[in-house]
Amino acid sequence: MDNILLIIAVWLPLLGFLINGLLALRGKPANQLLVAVAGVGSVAVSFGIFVWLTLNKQAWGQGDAQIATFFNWLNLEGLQLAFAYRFDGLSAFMAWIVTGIGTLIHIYSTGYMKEEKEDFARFFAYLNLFIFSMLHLVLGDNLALLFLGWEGVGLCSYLLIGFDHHKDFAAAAGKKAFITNRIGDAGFLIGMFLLFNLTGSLQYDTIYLRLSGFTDTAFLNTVAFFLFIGAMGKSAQIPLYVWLPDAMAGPTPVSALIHAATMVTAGIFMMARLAPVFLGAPETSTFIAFIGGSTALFAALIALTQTDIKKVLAYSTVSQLGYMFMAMGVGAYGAGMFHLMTHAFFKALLFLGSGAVILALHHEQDMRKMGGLFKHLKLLAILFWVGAIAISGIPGFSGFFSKDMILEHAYTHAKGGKILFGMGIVTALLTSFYMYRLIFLTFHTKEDAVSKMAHSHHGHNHHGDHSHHGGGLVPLGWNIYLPLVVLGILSVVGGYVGLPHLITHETPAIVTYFDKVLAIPPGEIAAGWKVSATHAEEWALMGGSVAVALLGLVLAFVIYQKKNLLPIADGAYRKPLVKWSFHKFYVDELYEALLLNPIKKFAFFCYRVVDARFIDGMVDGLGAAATAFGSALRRLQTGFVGDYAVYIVVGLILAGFIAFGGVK
Amino acid sequence: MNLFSINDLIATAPALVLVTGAILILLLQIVLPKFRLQAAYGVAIAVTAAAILLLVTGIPTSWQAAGATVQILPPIGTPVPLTEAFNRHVLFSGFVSEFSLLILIALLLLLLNSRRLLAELDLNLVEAYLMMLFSAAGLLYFIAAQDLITLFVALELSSLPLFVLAGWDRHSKSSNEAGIKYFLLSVLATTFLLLGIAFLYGASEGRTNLNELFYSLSRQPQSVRFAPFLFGILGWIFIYAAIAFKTALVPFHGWVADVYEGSITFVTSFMASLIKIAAVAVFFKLVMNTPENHRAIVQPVLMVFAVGSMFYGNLTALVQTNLKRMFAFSSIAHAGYMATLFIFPVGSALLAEIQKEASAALFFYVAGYAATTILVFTVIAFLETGDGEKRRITLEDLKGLGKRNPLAAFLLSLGALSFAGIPPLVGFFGKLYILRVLLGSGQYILALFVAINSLLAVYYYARIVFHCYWDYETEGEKLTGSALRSPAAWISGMALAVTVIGLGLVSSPVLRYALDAMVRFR
Amino acid sequence: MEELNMRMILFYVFSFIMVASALGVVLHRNPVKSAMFLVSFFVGLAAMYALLGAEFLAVVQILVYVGAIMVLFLFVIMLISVREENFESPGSNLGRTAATVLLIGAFAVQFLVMARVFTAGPGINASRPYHGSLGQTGKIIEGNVELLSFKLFQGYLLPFELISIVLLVAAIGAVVLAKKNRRKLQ
Repeated sequence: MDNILLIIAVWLPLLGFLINGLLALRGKPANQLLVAVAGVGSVAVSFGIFVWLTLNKQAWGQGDAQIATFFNWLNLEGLQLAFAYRFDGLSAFMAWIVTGIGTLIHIYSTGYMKEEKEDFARFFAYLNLFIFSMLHLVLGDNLALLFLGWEGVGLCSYLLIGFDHHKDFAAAAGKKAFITNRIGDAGFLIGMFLLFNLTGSLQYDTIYLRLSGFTDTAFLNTVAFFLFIGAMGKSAQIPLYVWLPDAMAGPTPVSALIHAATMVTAGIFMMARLAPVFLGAPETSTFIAFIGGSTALFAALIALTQTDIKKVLAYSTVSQLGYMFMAMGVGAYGAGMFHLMTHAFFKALLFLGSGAVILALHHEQDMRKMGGLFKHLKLLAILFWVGAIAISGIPGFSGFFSKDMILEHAYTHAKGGKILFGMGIVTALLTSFYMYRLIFLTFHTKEDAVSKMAHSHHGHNHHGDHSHHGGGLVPLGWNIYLPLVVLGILSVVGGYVGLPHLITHETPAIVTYFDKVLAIPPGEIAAGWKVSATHAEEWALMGGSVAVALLGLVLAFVIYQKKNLLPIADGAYRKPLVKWSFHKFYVDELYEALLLNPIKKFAFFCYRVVDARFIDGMVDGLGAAATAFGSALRRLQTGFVGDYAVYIVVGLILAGFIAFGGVK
Repeated sequence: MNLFSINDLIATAPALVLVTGAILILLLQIVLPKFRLQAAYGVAIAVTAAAILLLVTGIPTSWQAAGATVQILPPIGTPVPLTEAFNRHVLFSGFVSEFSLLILIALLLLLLNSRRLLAELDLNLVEAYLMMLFSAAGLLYFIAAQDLITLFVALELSSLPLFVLAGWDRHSKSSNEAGIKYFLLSVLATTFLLLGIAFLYGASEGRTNLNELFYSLSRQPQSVRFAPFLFGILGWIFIYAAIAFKTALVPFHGWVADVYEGSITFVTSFMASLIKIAAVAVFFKLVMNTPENHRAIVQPVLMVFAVGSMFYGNLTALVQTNLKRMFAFSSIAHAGYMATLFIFPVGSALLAEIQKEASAALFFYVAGYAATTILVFTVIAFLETGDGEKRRITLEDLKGLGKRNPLAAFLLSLGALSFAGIPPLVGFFGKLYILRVLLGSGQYILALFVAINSLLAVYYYARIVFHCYWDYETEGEKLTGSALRSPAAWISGMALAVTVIGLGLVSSPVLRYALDAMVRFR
Repeated sequence: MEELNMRMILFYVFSFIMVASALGVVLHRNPVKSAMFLVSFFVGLAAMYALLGAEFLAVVQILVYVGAIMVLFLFVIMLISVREENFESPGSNLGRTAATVLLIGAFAVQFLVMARVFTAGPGINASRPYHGSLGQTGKIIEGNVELLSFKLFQGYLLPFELISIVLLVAAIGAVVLAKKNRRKLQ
């Protein structure tokens, strides 16, 4: 019974996808109520089933996974693959987040997408398909299903980034995401094959079993490294993070659901799922921690000067993902998953909130044109404050607990722990600063965006189809506020599952939970990975992180509220560092100059029709060669029957020679 | 030699039903002059469905073995009893039944689209249905043929209607050209077939029956001192060449691009699916009937055919911008993949097992290939006629199709992705099973070639998907064409889409079924 | 090497005639003369049949091909009045060079095969004496025509019947393709 329910829960979103997909295919605006019921309902019911299954489940240990086999997919000698779903501590945790936050964001979307009459059903179809794929990713019982979901969420992501086809930018962003993720996928596939080669199976239990006792660190380091390349692509880490900020071209609920709360955490989830691999690879893990730390710092630096409200949040997401990888890299899986959860809450809140602001202001995304919204949107502003306090790490809110836990683990890491901690704490300062900067610029400062907008909107009409034109704010319905409120509450209370042991004097609940679920032998990690810290040090760490959070708040307050400084207009002179940050350290340009341009030139040189825009570097080179060869072969296709007959006869004579060459 | 009996007729019933239907259509023209088009459409679909039913029930193949008591609907996986008919001119085995079933299903799906597609072009003539039915009947005999003479005549019966169909659009120069080209080159191939048969006849002291040939030839010493052996080799090469022409293997591929592109797209999909199914099946059967002493010599030739086709098809497809041409070249490449299954290690103790596995893999691959091909060409056909006049679809035209015509873009991308071998679509599993057979029988080089080519191919298939969904920078000339504009076409399109996805999902049971049903058929 | 008897001499003579006439058909620029070469080719073929002991086929060959089909060809040629200048010299430059290469290649192959055949032991050249065969009734069939009818209507019944369908298809196809106004056909 429970197995059937599990399968239903996974496949239900597909039903929503089919209904909405068919409605979308009709080509005329569909009944929004019908679409909303199918879209929200399928995800919500699925969430309900997961809740029920969780309540029903007795034990959560490593061996207690509930496995429901839907059907046998491949049944070959040496390779058995089934459409089987695994409901255990880890996947239940993820399923809750995916369907829970998914439901909220679906509800929100019914309000946000109201105006897109033509594309309403299509949008929900994609969202449902995304949930369906994501559930395969987290619940699949083997790496093949995980990869299927991995590609599926990627597909939905590209579809949704390019949702607004009219924007060239959106299409380009979709392509960029595709290319970057292909590089990551290649790494992931290699890692997967290596793992299969080692264990002879793709099924998790078998992998765990065969890995226990396997101590070839060099091999595991290699496997872990390639798997991490996959995670780099999907979870936007240096150097493959470039796609995520551009992905904000998609509608805001998509940014919240896919590009902040769920899909981008797939890399973290994958690492937790394959914890035995990464635990056996200490060098790669340290490497991961440093990549995570650098990403966190680097993205936070960029976020400092961005003026587009969604761009700030996007870089903030990259930065927070960096934190999570740092946690996973130092072996603090519980802390990483904890931050994944709290981040899902507050980042979804912030994104949806920014979406509400954007919607209210007639699709204005530039923070320089906002300000003084507090008067008009009190509830929204308060919720935004909650999100900002949570992310910046002020005690009492969820972000504080998870971030602090990560910083503490980083500090006590045996290899380079102090450096990691340094990166983390600077990032915390920057995070706090740019978040409050965002809040002050948007909601406070003296200028009143509403009246300003009333002026500017008289002149031009850049979104002609708005019925409620002429200045005022677009009213926001209950379906916008409800998810925000729920997420706001979660952003506050979500942290209390991980009260630091300094206060409770015992291991945080969530850490105990994940240690049990992931079968991480307690204490064993500590041996090689950790150095101990005194109580005084730990208090100092916590105090430090609170201090920097408050410092950021004060700085932002002084600069943007007190002095009322506005970020400089585009094109004006900036100091070098600010300029670098504003231009995202020219990484896009760097990639363009170092990788894409030479390849393009080479391709152009080889054969001028080569389309260098599509596929990444290596394939482009090969593609050019193949294309040149192909066009030479094409000459053979003259169109004359006689010539074709000649080929046939020549071929036959050659065949004769080949064959008779073998006769003795 | 014995007189023929009712048993012979029952054994070939599916083909006979098709021929009867065709003649019925001819007669109905006189009886019902007003409704002859509707009647032709209806009868064609009805007889095809009837033939499918006949095959599925297993009556034709189990009639002789079981006497008068026939087990209707034998459980899946029951081996089909070997049934001979017409003085061992045809032989029905599991292999033959399965491929016949495939041909009939493909025919049914095509027929469902036919009426609308032909009407769009103003070419909906009664004779089109006649030609399709005759050709399909010919193909059924072609697959079942156990005697080289019958093989030749059946091949003619299946080809002749196609010459007419290829040149169906008489007002289009390219269609006329396609018809003539196909005819001329086919005739050349036919001469090779006849020459090959003659050589084998001579080499085996006057035999044309495949079974007798096998035993007669397999006793020959493998030596240049023995002239009949040399003529036997020559005979096999010529026969292979003729069938390779139908399969569209390099170097007998010249016609493919021009004929596929020139014919109306509906006919193209007929050629690319039905003919291909039958051709690979017969090719496989012939290879199976080549005794090992001959095969050891002829095999390198097959290898050249297969590898050449893969590389030629994929490399040339890379530079095509015309969609139909691109798929034409890709069909050459796919023929190459399938041809790798005609190559077995020489002197292997596990030969029978390998051949069985190979036949099942071939069945799976060609089934998936045919479904995808019909899907893709149907979408192209509907797109071509969308604006009221026939036009050629280029890659440029696809830009933004995902927005303007989501269904067409979806189906087209689905087909392209399946061809490219993206899991979990059927194309992926087809390649997987081919690779498995190749690796299992120790032919690593061929497996490597297949893998390299699969990678090459992804490039041009991905371009289709990209153009449909991500390339909006410059919108092409408006190409809308609502997809699948008739209920029947919609059913057929959806059935194909479900097949392309579903066969991938349930590939394992299908393969197992195919394996179970394949019994010795030499 | 075999003894060069009368049969062999005749075989080579007629072979030469056939190959020469076939080349004439393809290469001659006057269509009527081409057709006449075809006639001579068919006659040569008939002679071959007779040499092989198939007298009936030889006669039918003359009757059907030379008598009926060639006359039809000539009618068509005269009706559409093809003139010499309408016929381009066959083949492009590429075609001509290719044809030369091919012919050389073909002869090379033939030479190779023949060389091996003649150096080999007993083989294809050994003509098998004709023994006649047993019919359904157990009676020995000696006559050429009778044997043929038994072969056609018993042993080769299926291909024989299939050919009848092929002819039907050919007739329908010819009508469809040749009909001028197809709307009327509908």
